[in-house]
Amino acid sequence: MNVIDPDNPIPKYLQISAWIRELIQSGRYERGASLPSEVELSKICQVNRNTLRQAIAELTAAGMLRKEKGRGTFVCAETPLAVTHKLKSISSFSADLQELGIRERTRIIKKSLEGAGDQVAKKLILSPNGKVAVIRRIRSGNEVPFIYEESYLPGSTFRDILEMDLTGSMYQIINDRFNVTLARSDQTIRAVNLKGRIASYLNLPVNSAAFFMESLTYDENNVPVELLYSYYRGDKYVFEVELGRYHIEEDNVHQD
Amino acid sequence: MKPLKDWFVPWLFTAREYNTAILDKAWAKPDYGRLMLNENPIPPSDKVIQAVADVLKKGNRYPDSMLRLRTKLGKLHNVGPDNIALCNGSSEIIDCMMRIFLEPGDEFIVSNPTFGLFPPRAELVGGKVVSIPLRKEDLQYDVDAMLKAITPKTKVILVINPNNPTGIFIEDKDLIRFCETGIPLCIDEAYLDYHPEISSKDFLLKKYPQVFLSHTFSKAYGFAGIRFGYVVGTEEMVKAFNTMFLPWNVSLMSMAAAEAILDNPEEVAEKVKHNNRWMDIFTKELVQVGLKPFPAHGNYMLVDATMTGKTTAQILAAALETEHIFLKSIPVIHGKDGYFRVTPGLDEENERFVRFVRNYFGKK
Ligand SMILES: Cc1ncc(COP(=O)(O)O)c(C=O)c1O
Repeated sequence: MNVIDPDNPIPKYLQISAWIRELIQSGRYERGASLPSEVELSKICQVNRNTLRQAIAELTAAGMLRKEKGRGTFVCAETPLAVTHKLKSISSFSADLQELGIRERTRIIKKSLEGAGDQVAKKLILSPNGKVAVIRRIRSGNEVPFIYEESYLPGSTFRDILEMDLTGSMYQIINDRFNVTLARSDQTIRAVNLKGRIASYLNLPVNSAAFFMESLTYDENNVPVELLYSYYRGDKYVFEVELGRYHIEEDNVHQD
Repeated sequence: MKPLKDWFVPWLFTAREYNTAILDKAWAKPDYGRLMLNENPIPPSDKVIQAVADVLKKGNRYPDSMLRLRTKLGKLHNVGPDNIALCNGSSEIIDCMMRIFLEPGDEFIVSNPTFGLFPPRAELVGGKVVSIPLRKEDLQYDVDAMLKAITPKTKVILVINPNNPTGIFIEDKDLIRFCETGIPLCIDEAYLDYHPEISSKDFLLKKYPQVFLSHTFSKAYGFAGIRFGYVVGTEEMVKAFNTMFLPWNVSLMSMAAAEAILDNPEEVAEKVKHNNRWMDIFTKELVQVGLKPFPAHGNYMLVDATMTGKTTAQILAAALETEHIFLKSIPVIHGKDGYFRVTPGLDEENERFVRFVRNYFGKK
């Protein structure tokens, strides 16, 4: 791996400090951890020790690193708070936060009964003039917005949800109040840059990085019951996936 | 050489016939009122026609399993797409259920009278039809007698709800007695859509996996010629039907028509409204002249005119001759001749029927 890109006009020491900063922000070096020695680091970065010291000095000045005489360099920046979402079973934001012991706050931007529109109708298998209950919410923890989400539910079944308290887990409500079991969900995750309105909901500058997740959740009968569009802050969210073992198995030969 | 007829399975000759000759007569006389067939008099909407025309352009392709359509139908019954099997009108269910449950010599229990297609389809697989007369006093299912008729050879029972030709609903407690036997039970809900306030018996499927529902778009939806129907059952039941149905049994056009009308429930609501309005008018008119119409809940009404001394054949002939309307012949019930059945047609045809009733049965 090359830390330094020789074609990059940015000074080498700044390229190195950016690299170390990313290691800290992404949690690979946690608070209190020690960095490799200057000798090792300069080897890794293929720079002389002066350049390396310049980079470290930059981060020390920014308060991210601390030098201790004779002992080494330590991370003193807090690893930024990140919520981990396991892509394993259907779980709610409320549950993700509970795991971290953070208090959830949900702000409803808008909720209403609307015409489904082509795309939503198609995904939820509604008639083209079908109605959907639409709920737009910002999900925060410790006053920091994490997710902006738009939830679409078939109006015929879920219209009454609009009258309910939606500041907690909607999955709980769907389960308890509507007696609908959420059996499975098809999800896709894509990287996006946030546009104006959604960036401001999430307290971020325009064009900040985010994950966009589309979830189509089915009940026990294999009928789609919720289409959810979520924007997760790129700097605050971690998705965790557990994969099974690698195996090579030829698909059965297809017969016509 | 052996004559051809000796090659045929024996039940081809012993099965009773379902006679459709009246259809040729009716199509040959397009200006005659077709009040005899439990059809819907209102033609499909432009939306349905457009959907069929659109999909016809893909008519060179085999259809898929129509997940969307099955999901939409499942929603009507609080079940999923795998609880729905699609078919060409519910006649296909009638045929298929016999092939699923009956081996030669097995018995099928049904009331008498009933919809005339059931007995021949049982007999055409070598099955035996055990017909139990409706109760004399109210023409309800004689549940006691039907249950008593069960033998180890009984493999499937039929309940039509509301019944044809009486139009009467069965009570849940009676229906559950059939369910409790554990014997496969077909609940034919062909006419239920005329009464959206009455719920389908789909709630029985969870507790009684041997029960299945038969549905058709031939009646309230008005698709008798388009041909579309569906089975509702457990996944195991639906798999059995899908195994027995031919692959691609339903054409793309029928399925497109079905999806179009499902997306436009007002079309059905209007057809139902037209029907039910005329059912009320017919009832009043018939009572007025002293006949006894049964409290019917479909698009047909069984009328007891036995007290007039006129036979069914005489009544039908007079209606055809004086007002050019076809009525449905009903065989003798409990030894009495003079029953007939009528289905509302278009306004103008219905007016002809009302005139016939007044003139033929009214005080001179
Ligand atoms: C009780 C009942 N079931 C089924 C049918 C069959 O109709 P289709 O095959 O058109 O669905 C009829 C038709 O009159 C009927 O009366």
